[in-house]
Amino acid sequence: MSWFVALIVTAMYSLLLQNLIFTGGFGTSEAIRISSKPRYVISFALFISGFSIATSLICRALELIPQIGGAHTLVRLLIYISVLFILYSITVLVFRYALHAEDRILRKIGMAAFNTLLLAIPLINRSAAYTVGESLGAGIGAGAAFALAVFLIHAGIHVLDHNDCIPRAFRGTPALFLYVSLLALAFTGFSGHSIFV
Amino acid sequence: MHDKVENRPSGRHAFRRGLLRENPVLMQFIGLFPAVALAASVKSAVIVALAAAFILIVMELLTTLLLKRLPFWLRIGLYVLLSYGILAGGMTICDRFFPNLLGPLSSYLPLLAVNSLTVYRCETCAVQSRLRISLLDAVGASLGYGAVVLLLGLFRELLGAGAIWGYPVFAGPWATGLLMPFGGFLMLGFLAAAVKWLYNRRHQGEEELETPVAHVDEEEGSVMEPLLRFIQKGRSVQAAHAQHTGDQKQGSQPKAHGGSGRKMKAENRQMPERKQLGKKKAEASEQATAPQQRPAKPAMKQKALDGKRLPTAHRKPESSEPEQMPGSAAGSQPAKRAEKRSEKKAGRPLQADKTARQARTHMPPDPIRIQQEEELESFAEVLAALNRRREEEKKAAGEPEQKEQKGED
Amino acid sequence: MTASSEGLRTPAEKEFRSYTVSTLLMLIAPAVMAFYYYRWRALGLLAVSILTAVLCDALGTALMRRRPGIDTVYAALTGAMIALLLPASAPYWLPAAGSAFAIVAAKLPFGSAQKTPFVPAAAGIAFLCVCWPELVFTYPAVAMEQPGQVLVTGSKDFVEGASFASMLRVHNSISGNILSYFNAVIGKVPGPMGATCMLVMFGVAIAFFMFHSSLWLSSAGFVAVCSVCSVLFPRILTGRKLSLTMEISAGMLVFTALFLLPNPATLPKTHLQRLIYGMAAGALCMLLRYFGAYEEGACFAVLLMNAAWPMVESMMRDRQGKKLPPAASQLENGGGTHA
Repeated sequence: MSWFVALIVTAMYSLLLQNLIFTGGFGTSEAIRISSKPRYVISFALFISGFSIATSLICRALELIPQIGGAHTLVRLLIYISVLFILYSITVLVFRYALHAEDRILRKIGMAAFNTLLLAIPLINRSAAYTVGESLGAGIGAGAAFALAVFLIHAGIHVLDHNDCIPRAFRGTPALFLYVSLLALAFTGFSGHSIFV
Repeated sequence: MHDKVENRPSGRHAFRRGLLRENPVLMQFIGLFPAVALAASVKSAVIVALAAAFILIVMELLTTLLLKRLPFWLRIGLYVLLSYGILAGGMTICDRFFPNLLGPLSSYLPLLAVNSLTVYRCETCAVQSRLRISLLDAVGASLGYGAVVLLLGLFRELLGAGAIWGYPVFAGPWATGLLMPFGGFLMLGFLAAAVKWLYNRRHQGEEELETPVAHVDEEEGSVMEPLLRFIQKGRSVQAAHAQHTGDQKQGSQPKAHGGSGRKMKAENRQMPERKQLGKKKAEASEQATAPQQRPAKPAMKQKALDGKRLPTAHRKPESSEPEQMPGSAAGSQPAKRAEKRSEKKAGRPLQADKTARQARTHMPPDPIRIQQEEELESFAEVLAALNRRREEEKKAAGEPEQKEQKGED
Repeated sequence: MTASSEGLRTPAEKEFRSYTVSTLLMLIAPAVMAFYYYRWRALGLLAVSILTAVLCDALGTALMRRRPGIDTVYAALTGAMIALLLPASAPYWLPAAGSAFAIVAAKLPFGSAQKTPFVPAAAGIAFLCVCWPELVFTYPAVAMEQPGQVLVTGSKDFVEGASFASMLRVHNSISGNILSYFNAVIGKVPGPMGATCMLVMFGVAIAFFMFHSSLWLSSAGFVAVCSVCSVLFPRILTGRKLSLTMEISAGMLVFTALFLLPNPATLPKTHLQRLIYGMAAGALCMLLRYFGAYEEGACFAVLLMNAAWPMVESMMRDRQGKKLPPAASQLENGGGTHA
């Protein structure tokens, strides 16, 4: 039961206390770009969550192998990227040949599979010395954090779209950047620092 | 990210667009992580800018020379692997000749391998262009990206630490919060506003610098669409098959129908054979007659994930006749009418025709199939309208660009 | 859409003007208490903060080629709120920086004060907390013998006082005698210079209820949830009554509930929604106090709710199948169930 509690605690930590998107800046490009496409929001967030959980688990499990766990940083990163590549390939092949997905859907899967958020999760798991259960929680938390970020930014885009008072120079990306910066400021109340300070 | 197919630009246009108008960070929200999280000082910003530029230029060249002919879904994975290879090689050489240069950046710099900047530029330009254009595009985008990252690093280190490249400039209250990602977004907001103001001032009277990414785009679909279509297809084929054969060959249900076939199996095991046959016949007749009673809804709105029936498309008056004639006897005439209608609309985009053709070849001739064809037709109409609108937008966007090119040339 | 000419104002604009002016007047009471304890330093900080905010707003309005109006009064209100949430020992540039950030980053880029997605004063205080937490959360000891002698934080002979918020953070408690309660009620405790006197806050709450009865629900929900959390999950071991007293009297909680939270531009439309909004903000405030990085999280809670409520509204809208504009622009049409 303690592993379950650790899983939940780590997930909440990744979601709130150290929100990877707003506090760490991971995956912000994808979060903002997908937020402007409301019909993709839920499905994309689900894909990110799935990939993050799978990557987190598989990479942490692989690190239990002494040869991989003790390897050089660059070698371990290559392994993480290879895991991502394999997961992406399987997903794309299923969607393409079994479900006959269109190209635009496959591109979105590519976007969901290859982003800084997913590659950062195994790095953070290792630096924080998470167990397998905690790594799973970190993956779940990262997916939930991404989903939360996308929903919040999407709501913000909607608010800004209906605001006719925005000065001409701030319409579009500037206002959205400032909105996201104030969101990130709000989440800094939980974390109080950043990984890169 | 890879939505629009860009027209082939001239060299000067390819170089200049990445600087301002299509600046990756400020206008397209690409490559944000290195900018807001890594570039917190001038030194970090220089390293990030150089690394991103190196990867982008090499990858665009490689894409133009080697990767063009591969399917795009395979290319995307290769971008990441190759980018990492380039980056790892660069970092190794850097560590050998300049130890301690990277410092704390070495932990997270490899994340540049999955930087969306590389994938986006390669897919929108390198794949469709010649070597020279790709190189100019890469250089332009790198310069635009690098300029933004350097400015970010400069302002953040100056205001957040009172220093430039680690050398103290002024002693005073420093806003250390600006070194956090929130400070990066803040600076980007004001930088983007400054760029937009300058651009609008320079091009007064012309079209304002638009940023479609920052607005809600209702025209896209869901990543789950193929799965939903797959489930819908399986169910309708199941119902049609049961109606035709009139028996329950549970084992002979084709595997391609996936979950719906397995669900049918589980259900069938519990009911006697005669009752199942009657149930399926009742379901099939319900499907044939129900479309008249259902409210008109566009085919794109699907809620099939919870197992509910998908709404049908809006029905035209002349489509009511086939629905009143269930059974295979009348199946051929409605099918011919459906084919004629599809031939009439031969000017539709290829995708809609292909979808209709696929539906025709895979579906047995029966009222269920006709119903699906009607849905596909209306879906095709929606697609056609979307494509027409996109073409109009392209033409409208293409005219100022052509004027610009003429002016430049 | 934008502010109409005089005499042709929408009900939403009229309500916003009334809210801005009355809130600015209500702030006089905490300002008087701040002057009582900290004399001219308090007034100096107030003046600097208000001036900075008004100047930044005037400059921005001039650049945007708009006429000054209620937005200038709102800028003054923002500056006053920021100053009153800071310690009296803060250097003069601190409230200036907060006010400048509030106006330049959280108000001007979004057009008018009625269209801001975030409360500018909350954004300004949050910015100061993140950038200079040691200045924002270091309070001078309250010395009635020499009330005007307030030194700047970090200077020689500066005497730091232990605020309730910092005591709760390290699970310390005040003694339970009547004097402690009395000091908490009259505000003779280290803390933000305009937010410590509970008696004044209570008076303001009554005035709020009388003049803006439609807005008080969010404040009531906020304080109610904070009270319940402080009773159910006390951070001290000396009893739930003391926990309740300390948590409610600590930091910026009540001030936020009365002045930052009930901003008509960001509040939901209906009574029930406002109550839920306030309760959710209260829960977030206590979460931030318990698990956050800083001893006070009320301003961050306001920002989070400002961002989260449009998300909730869009989900409700999708569920009902409506295509309505969000809360901020609903006010333009005179929407909302004002009592």
